[in-house]
Amino acid sequence: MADAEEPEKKRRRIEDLTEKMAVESGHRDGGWDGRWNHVRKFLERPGPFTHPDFEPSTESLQFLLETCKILVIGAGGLGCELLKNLALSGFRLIHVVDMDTIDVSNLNRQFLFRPKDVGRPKAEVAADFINNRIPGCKVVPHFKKIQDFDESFYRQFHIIVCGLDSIIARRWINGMLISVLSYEDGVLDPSSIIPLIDGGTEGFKGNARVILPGMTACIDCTLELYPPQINFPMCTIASMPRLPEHCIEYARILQWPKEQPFGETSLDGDNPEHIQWVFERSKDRASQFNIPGVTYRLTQGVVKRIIPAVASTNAVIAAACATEVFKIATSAYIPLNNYLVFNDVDGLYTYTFEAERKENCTACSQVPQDLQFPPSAKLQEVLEYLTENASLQMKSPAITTTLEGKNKTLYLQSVKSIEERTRPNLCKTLKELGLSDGQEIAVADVTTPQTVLFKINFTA
Amino acid sequence: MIEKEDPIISEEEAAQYDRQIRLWGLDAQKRLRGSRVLLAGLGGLGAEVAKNLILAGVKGLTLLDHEQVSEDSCRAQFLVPVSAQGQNRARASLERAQNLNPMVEVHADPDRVEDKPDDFFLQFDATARFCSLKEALEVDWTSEKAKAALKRTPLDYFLLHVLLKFRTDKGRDPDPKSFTEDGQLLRQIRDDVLEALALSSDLLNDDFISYCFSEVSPVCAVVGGVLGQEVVKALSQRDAPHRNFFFFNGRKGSGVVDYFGPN
Repeated sequence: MADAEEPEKKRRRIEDLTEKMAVESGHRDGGWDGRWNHVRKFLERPGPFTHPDFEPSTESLQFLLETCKILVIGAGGLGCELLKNLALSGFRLIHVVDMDTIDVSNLNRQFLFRPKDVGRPKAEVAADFINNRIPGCKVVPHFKKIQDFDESFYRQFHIIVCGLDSIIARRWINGMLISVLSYEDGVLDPSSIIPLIDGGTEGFKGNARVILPGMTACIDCTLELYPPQINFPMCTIASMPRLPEHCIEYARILQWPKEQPFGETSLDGDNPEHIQWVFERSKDRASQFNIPGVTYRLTQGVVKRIIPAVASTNAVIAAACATEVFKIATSAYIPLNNYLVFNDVDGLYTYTFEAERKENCTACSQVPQDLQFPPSAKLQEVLEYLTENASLQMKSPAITTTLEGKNKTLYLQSVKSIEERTRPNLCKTLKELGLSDGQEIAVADVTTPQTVLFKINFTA
Repeated sequence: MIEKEDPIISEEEAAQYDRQIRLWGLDAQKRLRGSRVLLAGLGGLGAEVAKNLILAGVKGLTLLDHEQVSEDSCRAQFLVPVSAQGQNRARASLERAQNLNPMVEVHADPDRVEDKPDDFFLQFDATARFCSLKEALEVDWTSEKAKAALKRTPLDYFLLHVLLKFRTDKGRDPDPKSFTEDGQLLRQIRDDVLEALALSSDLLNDDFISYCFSEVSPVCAVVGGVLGQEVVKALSQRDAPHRNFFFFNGRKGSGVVDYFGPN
């Protein structure tokens, strides 16, 4: 039932056929008569729902086909659907970034991939599939992390659409697009805005939003909307488990480091032997407390923090996102304003609202961030504030400041030698560290491509 | 429903379907694994539904479509190769549909659904098609209750009435090639339909015609996603299905579930 023809032979055959059709119908661009009629209907005639400023013309379609450059971030559940929708709607200059390789568990929804592709980079296989299938479409893959690129890469795109699986990554690209905004005399230059369409799904739930950096609510403006990630309290895990998940966390967090069953290796969720070990310890614990429900599958899910996923939700959300890309690229229709939620857990619920900008958003408000601490506060407290505050939610902030004209690292976690060297600073007070009232500190973190400046104001 | 012997999920299937088994459970996946589904109509929407059902791992999916691949078909219908113009649409979609998941038995049937004998349908556990729309759409709009509900009623409902009548009268959907005459006929039908329902013809203004002629990939994908999930729910016997119409408005980016039917 699989491809009877070799890929190369098939590609040649499709190219020949397309070439033949193009020559016969007089097209030089890999098209055929009527190929884009479905798109023309939206762009070349008036209608009741078009943007008030919309003028029908043939130029919009040409823009889509020849000029409009789109970046798709993620080639997974949402990414595959996005690439299909965009390519079928006339977009041809598409780049796709994904740092992952294909796993068998992706195949229930990431339909550009086949069993033979397992292990290959998602971006490359997705690009190959679309380029072979849609004549004229040129998807350029990047088997990289988004952080591997700088602003010169991102600036080339008209619109960026994301199908990411992490809030940190979302905040990073959000920060990147804010950093390329240019202001003249305090006024935002609209031509520096790169619209960001962001989609996300989990099981039967999903959302799609339109972000115009510098103009509308950004990712950080609505950071508190994200539900807290489930982490069970230690007391529950240690003494009062009720759920099978508690038993699994007990084995993972407490027993594994203590017993080191495979030597000094850390727990690897993809290693069946590791999962088996955790599974058996979890079963023991569960039987002590009469808790049913510990299975191998559940163990794997808890250890790897697996999120259930299905094709249909991804189809819906990616389609909503692709529709917005189309509307914004053509300026023909009023875009979503600006946040859509979707939920078909029980019945079907969808709602659209306008998320508002946060006045003092750390990412997009340009308002200097003020911190209040007594001079006797320890650096540790500042660190905790940066990580625990709901609006900041930093992951591992690195704090530097200028003392006596020189740049000084107060604390940095990501490089072991520097962490060890600066760790004693955590116990020192701000005064001891030489900071004065109104001192500026620069904080770097994975959640943002640019350092954030804070001003420390001393309280009594 | 699905009463045959308990289908076994192989290790290969358990690995591939892992992420959705975590969503609806192993029992539901087994019921899917034992189900045969009939899908009538392989336009843009049908292709999306086919994709979602094949990826979900049903036992068999029969693609039923008597239409031929036309110029229009290639645009939002991604299963049909460009070179397949003139071929039967179900047969042209078969290879790519099958490639999505070799573990599903995909068949193509070029017949008309109306020509099938009754017992043809007995072999399936679920069918997805637009049937009995007529009954579902019949509402007495003169009643007070209905009048009160009118404000909340999506305009797409009336649009559906008009399209259905067009299809019944002409035996086909509006065709861009005969845009002018079809446009006029649609307007006429709109007037007739709204008059018959004792409603003002202002309800659906002239511009609705621009919506009757094509399908766009992303909108097909949204409705196809919802419809696919409805079929999965029915087969896996988990969760109630929507009551009973889902309208998607790509312009506003919003979806509405509403109930239409007797009483």
